[in-house]
Amino acid sequence: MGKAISDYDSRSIRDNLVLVGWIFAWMAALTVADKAALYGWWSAEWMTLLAISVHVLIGIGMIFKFMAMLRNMDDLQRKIQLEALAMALGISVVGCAAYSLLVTWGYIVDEEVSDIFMLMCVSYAVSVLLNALRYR
Amino acid sequence: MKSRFKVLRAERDWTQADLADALGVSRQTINAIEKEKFDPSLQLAFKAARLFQMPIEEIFTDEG
Repeated sequence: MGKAISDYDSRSIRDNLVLVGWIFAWMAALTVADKAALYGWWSAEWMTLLAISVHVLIGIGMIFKFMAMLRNMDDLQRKIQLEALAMALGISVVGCAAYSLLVTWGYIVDEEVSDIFMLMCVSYAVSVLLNALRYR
Repeated sequence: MKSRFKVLRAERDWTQADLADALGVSRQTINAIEKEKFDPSLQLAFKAARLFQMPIEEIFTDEG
Protein backbone atom coordinates (compact mmCIF):
# COMPACT_ATOMS: atom_id res chain seq x y z
CA MET A 1 0.00 0.00 0.00
CA GLY A 2 1.05 3.68 -0.38
CA LYS A 3 1.29 3.64 -4.17
CA ALA A 4 1.20 6.81 -6.25
CA ILE A 5 -0.03 5.21 -9.44
CA SER A 6 -2.56 2.39 -9.73
CA ASP A 7 -2.16 -0.77 -11.79
CA TYR A 8 -5.08 0.42 -13.92
CA ASP A 9 -3.22 3.67 -14.71
CA SER A 10 0.00 1.80 -15.57
CA ARG A 11 -1.92 -0.50 -17.90
CA SER A 12 -3.76 2.48 -19.36
CA ILE A 13 -0.47 4.27 -20.14
CA ARG A 14 0.86 1.10 -21.83
CA ASP A 15 -2.37 0.70 -23.84
CA ASN A 16 -2.27 4.35 -24.90
CA LEU A 17 1.33 4.03 -26.07
CA VAL A 18 0.43 0.94 -28.11
CA LEU A 19 -2.49 2.84 -29.65
CA VAL A 20 -0.22 5.80 -30.47
CA GLY A 21 2.07 3.28 -32.21
CA TRP A 22 -0.86 2.03 -34.29
CA ILE A 23 -1.85 5.62 -35.14
CA PHE A 24 1.68 6.51 -36.26
CA ALA A 25 1.92 3.31 -38.33
CA TRP A 26 -1.43 4.11 -39.95
CA MET A 27 -0.39 7.72 -40.65
CA ALA A 28 2.91 6.51 -42.14
CA ALA A 29 1.08 4.01 -44.37
CA LEU A 30 -1.35 6.77 -45.43
CA THR A 31 1.52 9.12 -46.24
CA VAL A 32 3.34 6.45 -48.27
CA ALA A 33 0.18 5.53 -50.22
CA ASP A 34 -0.63 9.21 -50.84
CA LYS A 35 2.81 10.62 -51.66
CA ALA A 36 3.79 7.68 -53.84
CA ALA A 37 1.13 8.68 -56.32
CA LEU A 38 2.06 12.37 -56.06
CA TYR A 39 5.81 11.92 -56.50
CA GLY A 40 5.73 8.79 -58.66
CA TRP A 41 7.78 6.60 -56.29
CA TRP A 42 6.75 3.57 -58.29
CA SER A 43 4.80 2.85 -61.45
CA ALA A 44 3.63 -0.73 -60.89
CA GLU A 45 -0.09 -0.92 -60.18
CA TRP A 46 0.34 -3.83 -57.77
CA MET A 47 2.59 -1.62 -55.60
CA THR A 48 -0.16 0.98 -55.38
CA LEU A 49 -2.74 -1.66 -54.47
CA LEU A 50 -0.35 -3.11 -51.89
CA ALA A 51 0.26 0.33 -50.32
CA ILE A 52 -3.49 0.98 -50.09
CA SER A 53 -4.14 -2.51 -48.69
CA VAL A 54 -1.43 -2.11 -46.04
CA HIS A 55 -2.92 1.26 -45.09
CA VAL A 56 -6.43 -0.25 -44.75
CA LEU A 57 -5.18 -3.28 -42.77
CA ILE A 58 -3.25 -1.10 -40.32
CA GLY A 59 -6.33 1.13 -40.07
CA ILE A 60 -8.50 -1.88 -39.15
CA GLY A 61 -5.92 -2.93 -36.55
CA MET A 62 -5.99 0.58 -35.11
CA ILE A 63 -9.81 0.53 -34.86
CA PHE A 64 -9.81 -2.86 -33.08
CA LYS A 65 -7.10 -1.69 -30.68
CA PHE A 66 -9.15 1.43 -29.84
CA MET A 67 -12.31 -0.66 -29.32
CA ALA A 68 -10.42 -3.07 -27.04
CA MET A 69 -9.14 -0.09 -25.08
CA LEU A 70 -12.67 1.26 -24.69
CA ARG A 71 -13.90 -2.11 -23.40
CA ASN A 72 -11.10 -2.22 -20.80
CA MET A 73 -11.70 1.32 -19.54
CA ASP A 74 -13.44 2.07 -16.27
CA ASP A 75 -16.74 3.96 -16.15
CA LEU A 76 -15.25 7.46 -15.91
CA GLN A 77 -12.69 6.96 -18.67
CA ARG A 78 -15.39 5.51 -20.93
CA LYS A 79 -17.62 8.51 -20.20
CA ILE A 80 -14.76 10.87 -21.08
CA GLN A 81 -14.18 9.01 -24.36
CA LEU A 82 -17.89 8.85 -25.19
CA GLU A 83 -18.29 12.60 -24.71
CA ALA A 84 -15.15 13.28 -26.78
CA LEU A 85 -16.33 11.00 -29.59
CA ALA A 86 -19.78 12.60 -29.58
CA MET A 87 -18.18 16.05 -29.71
CA ALA A 88 -15.82 15.04 -32.54
CA LEU A 89 -18.65 13.46 -34.54
CA GLY A 90 -20.98 16.44 -34.00
CA ILE A 91 -18.36 19.03 -34.89
CA SER A 92 -17.35 17.00 -37.96
CA VAL A 93 -20.93 16.69 -39.24
CA VAL A 94 -21.67 20.39 -38.69
CA GLY A 95 -18.22 21.38 -39.95
CA CYS A 96 -18.58 19.17 -43.02
CA ALA A 97 -21.97 20.73 -43.88
CA ALA A 98 -20.62 24.26 -43.36
CA TYR A 99 -17.52 23.43 -45.41
CA SER A 100 -19.69 22.04 -48.19
CA LEU A 101 -21.76 25.24 -48.21
CA LEU A 102 -18.61 27.38 -48.38
CA VAL A 103 -17.43 25.31 -51.36
CA THR A 104 -20.87 25.60 -53.01
CA TRP A 105 -20.88 29.38 -52.61
CA GLY A 106 -17.32 29.68 -53.83
CA TYR A 107 -15.67 30.85 -50.59
CA ILE A 108 -13.38 27.81 -50.67
CA VAL A 109 -11.89 26.95 -54.03
CA ASP A 110 -9.21 24.44 -53.14
CA GLU A 111 -11.26 21.90 -51.17
CA GLU A 112 -9.44 19.25 -49.16
CA VAL A 113 -11.05 16.26 -47.41
CA SER A 114 -8.10 16.34 -45.00
CA ASP A 115 -9.44 19.62 -43.55
CA ILE A 116 -12.50 17.77 -42.17
CA PHE A 117 -10.29 14.92 -41.01
CA MET A 118 -8.08 17.38 -39.13
CA LEU A 119 -11.14 19.08 -37.63
CA MET A 120 -12.37 15.71 -36.34
CA CYS A 121 -8.98 14.79 -34.82
CA VAL A 122 -8.47 18.20 -33.20
CA SER A 123 -12.01 18.35 -31.75
CA TYR A 124 -11.58 14.82 -30.33
CA ALA A 125 -8.20 15.62 -28.77
CA VAL A 126 -9.39 18.95 -27.30
CA SER A 127 -12.53 17.30 -25.91
CA VAL A 128 -10.55 14.47 -24.25
CA LEU A 129 -8.19 17.03 -22.74
CA LEU A 130 -11.00 19.28 -21.43
CA ASN A 131 -12.88 16.30 -19.96
CA ALA A 132 -9.73 14.95 -18.35
CA LEU A 133 -9.19 18.36 -16.73
CA ARG A 134 -12.84 18.56 -15.66
CA TYR A 135 -12.67 15.27 -13.76
CA ARG A 136 -9.11 15.76 -12.53
CA MET B 1 -23.71 11.60 -4.71
CA LYS B 2 -21.60 11.78 -1.56
CA SER B 3 -19.15 9.01 -0.81
CA ARG B 4 -17.15 8.11 2.30
CA PHE B 5 -14.18 6.96 0.26
CA LYS B 6 -11.86 9.57 1.74
CA VAL B 7 -12.68 8.64 5.35
CA LEU B 8 -12.59 4.90 4.67
CA ARG B 9 -9.22 5.31 2.92
CA ALA B 10 -7.80 7.33 5.77
CA GLU B 11 -8.88 4.68 8.29
CA ARG B 12 -6.86 2.13 6.34
CA ASP B 13 -4.01 4.49 5.44
CA TRP B 14 -4.61 3.95 1.74
CA THR B 15 -3.76 6.36 -1.05
CA GLN B 16 -6.18 6.98 -3.90
CA ALA B 17 -4.00 4.70 -6.05
CA ASP B 18 -4.31 1.91 -3.46
CA LEU B 19 -8.10 2.15 -3.50
CA ALA B 20 -8.07 2.39 -7.30
CA ASP B 21 -6.04 -0.84 -7.40
CA ALA B 22 -8.41 -2.62 -5.05
CA LEU B 23 -11.41 -1.58 -7.16
CA GLY B 24 -9.70 -2.00 -10.54
CA VAL B 25 -10.27 1.59 -11.67
CA SER B 26 -8.14 4.65 -12.39
CA ARG B 27 -6.93 7.00 -9.64
CA GLN B 28 -8.77 9.78 -11.48
CA THR B 29 -12.05 7.89 -10.98
CA ILE B 30 -11.49 7.64 -7.21
CA ASN B 31 -10.63 11.34 -7.10
CA ALA B 32 -13.72 12.29 -9.14
CA ILE B 33 -15.96 10.20 -6.84
CA GLU B 34 -14.43 11.76 -3.72
CA LYS B 35 -14.93 15.25 -5.13
CA GLU B 36 -18.53 14.38 -6.11
CA LYS B 37 -17.80 15.07 -9.78
CA PHE B 38 -18.72 11.56 -10.86
CA ASP B 39 -21.27 9.03 -9.61
CA PRO B 40 -20.04 5.42 -9.57
CA SER B 41 -21.89 2.72 -11.43
CA LEU B 42 -23.92 0.16 -9.48
CA GLN B 43 -21.22 -2.43 -10.26
CA LEU B 44 -18.49 -0.24 -8.79
CA ALA B 45 -20.64 0.58 -5.77
CA PHE B 46 -21.16 -3.15 -5.08
CA LYS B 47 -17.43 -3.73 -5.48
CA ALA B 48 -16.71 -0.98 -2.95
CA ALA B 49 -19.29 -2.48 -0.56
CA ARG B 50 -17.57 -5.87 -0.79
CA LEU B 51 -14.14 -4.31 -0.31
CA PHE B 52 -15.09 -2.30 2.77
CA GLN B 53 -17.52 -5.00 3.98
CA MET B 54 -20.23 -2.42 4.47
CA PRO B 55 -23.70 -1.89 3.00
CA ILE B 56 -23.71 0.39 -0.07
CA GLU B 57 -25.86 3.01 1.69
CA GLU B 58 -23.19 3.41 4.37
CA ILE B 59 -20.60 4.27 1.73
CA PHE B 60 -22.70 6.35 -0.65
CA THR B 61 -25.50 8.75 0.17
CA ASP B 62 -27.75 10.37 -2.37
CA GLU B 63 -28.38 14.02 -1.70
CA GLY B 64 -31.00 14.34 -4.44
